[in-house]
Amino acid sequence: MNASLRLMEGDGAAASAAPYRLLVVGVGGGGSRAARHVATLLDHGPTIVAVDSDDQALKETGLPVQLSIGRALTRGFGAGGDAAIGKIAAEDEENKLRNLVEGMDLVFVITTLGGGTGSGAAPVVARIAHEQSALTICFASTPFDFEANRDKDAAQEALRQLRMHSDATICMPNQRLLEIVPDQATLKSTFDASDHMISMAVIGIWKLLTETGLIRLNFSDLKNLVENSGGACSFGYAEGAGPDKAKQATQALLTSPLLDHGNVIAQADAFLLNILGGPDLALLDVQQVMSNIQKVARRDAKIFMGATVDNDWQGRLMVTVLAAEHWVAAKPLIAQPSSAPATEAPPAAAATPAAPEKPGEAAATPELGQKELVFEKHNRGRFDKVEPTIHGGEDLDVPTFHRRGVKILSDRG
Amino acid sequence: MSLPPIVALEIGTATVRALVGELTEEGQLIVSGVGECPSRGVRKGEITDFDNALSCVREALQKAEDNSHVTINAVHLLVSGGHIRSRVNRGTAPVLNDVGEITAEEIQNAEKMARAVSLPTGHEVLHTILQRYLVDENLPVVNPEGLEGTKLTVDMLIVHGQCNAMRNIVKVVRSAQVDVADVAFSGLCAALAVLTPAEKNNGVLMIDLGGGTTDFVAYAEERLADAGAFAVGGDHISNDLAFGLRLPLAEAERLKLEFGTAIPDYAARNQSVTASPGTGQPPRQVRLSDLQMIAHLRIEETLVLVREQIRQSKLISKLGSGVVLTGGGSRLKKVDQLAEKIFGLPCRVGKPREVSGMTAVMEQPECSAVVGMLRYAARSLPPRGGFLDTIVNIFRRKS
Repeated sequence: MNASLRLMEGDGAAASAAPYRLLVVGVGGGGSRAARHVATLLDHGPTIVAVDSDDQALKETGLPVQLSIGRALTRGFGAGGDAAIGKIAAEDEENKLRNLVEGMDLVFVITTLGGGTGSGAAPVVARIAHEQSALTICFASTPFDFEANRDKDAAQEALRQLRMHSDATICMPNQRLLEIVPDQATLKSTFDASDHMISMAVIGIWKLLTETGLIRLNFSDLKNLVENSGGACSFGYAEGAGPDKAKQATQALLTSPLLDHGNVIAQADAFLLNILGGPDLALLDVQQVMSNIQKVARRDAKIFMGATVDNDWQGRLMVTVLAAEHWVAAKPLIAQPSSAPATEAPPAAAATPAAPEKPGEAAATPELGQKELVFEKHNRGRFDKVEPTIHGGEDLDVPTFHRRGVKILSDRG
Repeated sequence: MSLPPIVALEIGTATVRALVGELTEEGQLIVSGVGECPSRGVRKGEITDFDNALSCVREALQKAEDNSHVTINAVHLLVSGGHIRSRVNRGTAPVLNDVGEITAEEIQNAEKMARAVSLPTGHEVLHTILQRYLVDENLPVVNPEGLEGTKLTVDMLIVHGQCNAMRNIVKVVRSAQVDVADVAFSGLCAALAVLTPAEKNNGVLMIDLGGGTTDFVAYAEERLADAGAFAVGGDHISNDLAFGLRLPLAEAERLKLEFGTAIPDYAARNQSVTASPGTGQPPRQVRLSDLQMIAHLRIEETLVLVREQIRQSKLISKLGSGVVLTGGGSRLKKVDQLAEKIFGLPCRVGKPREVSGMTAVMEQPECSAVVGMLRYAARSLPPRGGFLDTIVNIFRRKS
């Protein structure tokens, strides 16, 4: 943990030069604590703000930018575990929050769900950020199983809200931590581990956007992944060191409880994977990681892959994964394969003005130039009114023989 | 004495079908009425034209009322569509009492945890089906109550689907002045109707080749292991034929039924058949090999979609009883042979089992899902309120 701590501090220059304006907002007691943890790891990185209704807790974070919300309601004593109060508190300060997120490309909302301010206010912050057209990613930890059922229910509700109002919400159940921390761990160190887990997710994504990349992943890759993720993403990371660092890291990643012991990767429709290594990062390492991951992943999964080099990582390697379990390829991706035959489509297709909007539709028209066969027109609408069935990047409504390029010979002889 | 009649309704892509059934006290299912209407306004299992769909539902229900002499007030509704998916969710509850014995409370807690699942936006839970209990994470047991352990784990299969699509189907039925007593995934119902207890115990994959959707349900290791649907069906074969042979859809449909086959017949490769391209056009010859190839490619692709899904869930080696095909698509010639080749497993075509009454109507693979719904409805508790408020107990009994 300490080693990675040092490493992150050295990134100030790279971070400040980043072309993306990133804001990290910690909401509520837990969120603010995690935000502070991010601040200690990322010294000159993004702007980090704490938002809470508890003035005392806010002061303890020591963050330069703090926003106290709901003072009229709570007089600065916190929301008392009531999400409704947290929500009103944030809504009262909507203008201030809007000023905060204005002009940002990327807003990370960090929160721990189950309490009052986090569960109530975080969805409001996410909504405001999203309304200001920032790509909004929420990092939320959910309560341990032993916590009160009422808190867990509140957390589930808040999670739903977050998903609704953000581009993607990365949920990190604290329960999964129990598999990582030693049995004898103190309560404090367990909560610290929770903060660390959230921080690593924030930093992992931040680094992937800002480090010099050998195989560069950029903002649009991230945007593509999260915007089409249906709102739910999972995050995981693992490290390895020494000669077989690639193998170590992959194995650790595939058994990591953060990714449900590899199940998340096995089921994900799409994921973003970044390999961070030192100057000694070899092609073989990258290949080893990728081939092992691909063995587990679905064959049709869309993988956004990147590799970055950081001088501090000599002899070590870290793999970070952001996975979307329900990812739908963005429209342009589907349009490409079918756009070519579109130009050759007979006039019958031109009768349908909507053709260019619906990818695959134009391609469904046989290329044979049989212009006299006008009855084609009323066959076209079979799958017109419904969403195309996209599977593995193919529009299944387009005839299979057409997609496979099988020629139909009828009437030619 | 028999229980009150149950009505199952399926708004399929090809046919809207209502079935009136009664379950005798001995558990025998008797079908006393059926109403069918060719479907309009339904594509890939989802409503695309509300008014057309509504008039079909009215017609089907009317016919069912007429020939069963029962007034239909409420129906048990089937849903399908490419949006339906499933996942396994695990719930764990620690055993807290002094003696370390698992009680009803722990079971309840673990089940509650297993049901609490996070779904994609806009999705709702359709079924939660108990898969198994584990004591201390390694000992699978049938009934954990009274056993000793430190924690109890429950695996549930959560079947979920898009809220809006399902609501639309319910809305059509309500607009016909009929109540929806319950909603169930048609794949699960078809499995109830066609699979034998032995098949379920050995592990089996059931594929319902419908008009607009292909539903699948897999049993492995004596539990329901996977379920889902693809928005591809027999409609797509007809559509492909219509495009490939440049024929109206109705004519393509006719050719599919008459000459379609899942494996092209090489002996017939030089033959051709007569097709009528439409009013005012002279009939013309269509090569049989083209027709068969188009159908083959589509059905092969559809079955491969299911195979890939089953491979991902690592079930393929656990299907001791192979594959059972049902639904209208299972009438396609040689489709069982093709499935045997694709899955590398034995395959049979399944029809609804253990049904009496209107047998002539019932022994059709198209009716599997709707017959299964009767069984599903008959075996669950008295009508429960609330849309999608379906906590299903029935699938836990593997009989």
